[in-house]
Amino acid sequence: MRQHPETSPADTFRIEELETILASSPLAIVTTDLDGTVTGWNPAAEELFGRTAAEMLGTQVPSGPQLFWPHMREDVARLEDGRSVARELRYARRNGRTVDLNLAAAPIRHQGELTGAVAIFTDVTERKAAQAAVAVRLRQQEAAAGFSHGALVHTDVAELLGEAVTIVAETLEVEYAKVLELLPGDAGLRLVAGYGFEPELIGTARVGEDSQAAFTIHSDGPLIVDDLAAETRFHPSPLLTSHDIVSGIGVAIDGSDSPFGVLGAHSTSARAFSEDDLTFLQTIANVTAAALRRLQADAELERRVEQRTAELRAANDELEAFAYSVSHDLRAPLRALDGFSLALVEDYGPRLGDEGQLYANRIRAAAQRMGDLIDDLLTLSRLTRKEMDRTRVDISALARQIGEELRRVDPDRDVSVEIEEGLVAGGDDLLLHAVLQNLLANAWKFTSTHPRARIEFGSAQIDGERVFFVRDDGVGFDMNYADKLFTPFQRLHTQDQFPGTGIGLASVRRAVGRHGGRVWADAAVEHGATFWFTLPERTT
Amino acid sequence: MEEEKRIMLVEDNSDDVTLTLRALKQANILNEVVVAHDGVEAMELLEDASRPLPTVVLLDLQLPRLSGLEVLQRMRDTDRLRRVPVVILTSSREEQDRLRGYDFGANSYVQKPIHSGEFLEAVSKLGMYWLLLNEPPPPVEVDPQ
Repeated sequence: MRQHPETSPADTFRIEELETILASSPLAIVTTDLDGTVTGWNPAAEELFGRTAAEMLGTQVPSGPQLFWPHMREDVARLEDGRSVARELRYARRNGRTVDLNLAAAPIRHQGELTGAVAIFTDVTERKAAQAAVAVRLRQQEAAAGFSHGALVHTDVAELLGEAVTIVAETLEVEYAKVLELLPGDAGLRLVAGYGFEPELIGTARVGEDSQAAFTIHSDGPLIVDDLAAETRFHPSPLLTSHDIVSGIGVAIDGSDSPFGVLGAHSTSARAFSEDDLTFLQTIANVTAAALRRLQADAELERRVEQRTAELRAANDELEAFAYSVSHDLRAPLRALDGFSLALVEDYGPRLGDEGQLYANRIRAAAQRMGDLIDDLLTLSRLTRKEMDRTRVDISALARQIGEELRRVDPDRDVSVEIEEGLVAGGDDLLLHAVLQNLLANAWKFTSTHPRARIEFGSAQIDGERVFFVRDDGVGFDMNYADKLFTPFQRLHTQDQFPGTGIGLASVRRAVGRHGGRVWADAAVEHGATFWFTLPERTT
Repeated sequence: MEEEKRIMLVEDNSDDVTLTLRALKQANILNEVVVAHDGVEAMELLEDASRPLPTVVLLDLQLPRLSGLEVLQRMRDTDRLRRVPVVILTSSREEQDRLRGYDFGANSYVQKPIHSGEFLEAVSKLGMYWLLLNEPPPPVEVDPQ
């Protein structure tokens, strides 16, 4: 500070106070006159710029030895206009390190006249570095999140790994990134995805058991290489050296039993990778490992579904062959039983006597019944094997047509058949025909001992679900046996009471089941029976 | 001039052979019946140029060695046998068999009824129809090769 000629004791005190402030300030404070001559340079400035006050006082800004205030003229002009000055600067120190500075400048006035400027410099190098690190970390987290999202939907391993290496290279700003897959045995590793590498290398290039990648897999944490040429822990593979790679980092990608391989990022210049860089790379490797496990599980599931489908198809083919052989081979002996019994009666009747003829006729009746059973079983089997052919079926019309047919065959009975109009359901025409045919024929049969009968086909809403029903006022049955109704060959009446094979309701259950529906019954002895069934509408 | 009309029965099941022959007899069809017990025997008999062609072939489907459908196919591929009426007489009512039977050129498809009365009637009607009512194709002139 320059001394003015007339200074009062109070002024002297004031000057000393200011000089103490300047000397003890942690902020670099520099004063200049209007020409840019440095008039003040405090110890913090000496520290920050690495120049002593003796060196700097009297030098010109900005033409002095160090360009610490490049825009000084401009800034003084701003101050003259009464505007404020705040700048961010970068300053190269004598030792080559650069520092980031914030500059704030204020005018110095003497008796209202602008005589100079004071510039206050703050070292913000650390803060800036921290901000930059945060920005990098944010970018890496964003990239990792984006990759994770994509990894959930990828269905192709090559695509997934390709995306992994691209995101690693772009985010870490390196020239090369790669995934090496660990080969079984001692076969080393193979390049399965690469960024920066020639496309023909991918899928073919291999590295040995003594390579950086192999070393990465066998070491517990991430591997950092500062200078490949100086490396002693492993033998750099030609894959790296041929691409002038200097430094890099690598992490293992976990597999289900053994590691899947290695994810690496490589730079052709010396580069110090940060803790964040490693975390990022590890995150990508972990996500990749999880996605690979998912893809493997998917593939396994698919394989199992295929296997199960093949088994089902084989079972179905077997069933088909069985049905064919039933239809053909089981009939032939029956025909012989029946034919020869008849031949016996016709050709040797007198010698058989009445009882002998009766026996022969019973053989024929039994053969005939077995033939009916075979026919019904085949029908049941056909209901199972038949391909579903879904359409909109007018089941009211179907029921009416079956009712008319029943009446035509048995015209003497007094039966009123009431059918609700306009019932339509989605389903297979033939299967639905089998359902209604069996239920209505049953209703017709089990009312036959009553002089008058009423059969009803309709629908109802039960718990919000549409339910169809066939109701009769016939002999009904004991609900204690209701669970046997839908099982093949199970009957609740003797042949003499009501003939039948016990296949009809099993067929109904199968046909309804193939539509995703249910069937059940309620009844009381001599108070009729109601058979309910559902045909869920398909939503897909 | 009128050639003797004869039936060829291709049937491996001896019960069915006996019952069919009995049914024909009961229907008073006394024409000669040539029985082949499998597909190979049937083809040998049919391809033997010294034997007269049958008026109708009653053909079972499930046969040892050569199946009924294969016999039918070979007949339709042979000039001399191309037009010989073939009635498939089988236990099978499977859609596949019926489809292929007609595709391969069967003239008729009859399922053997289990009930003897129906069986008798079916055989008797078949005999009547193919031997008496149906006009057989004219004899084929075959180039000796």
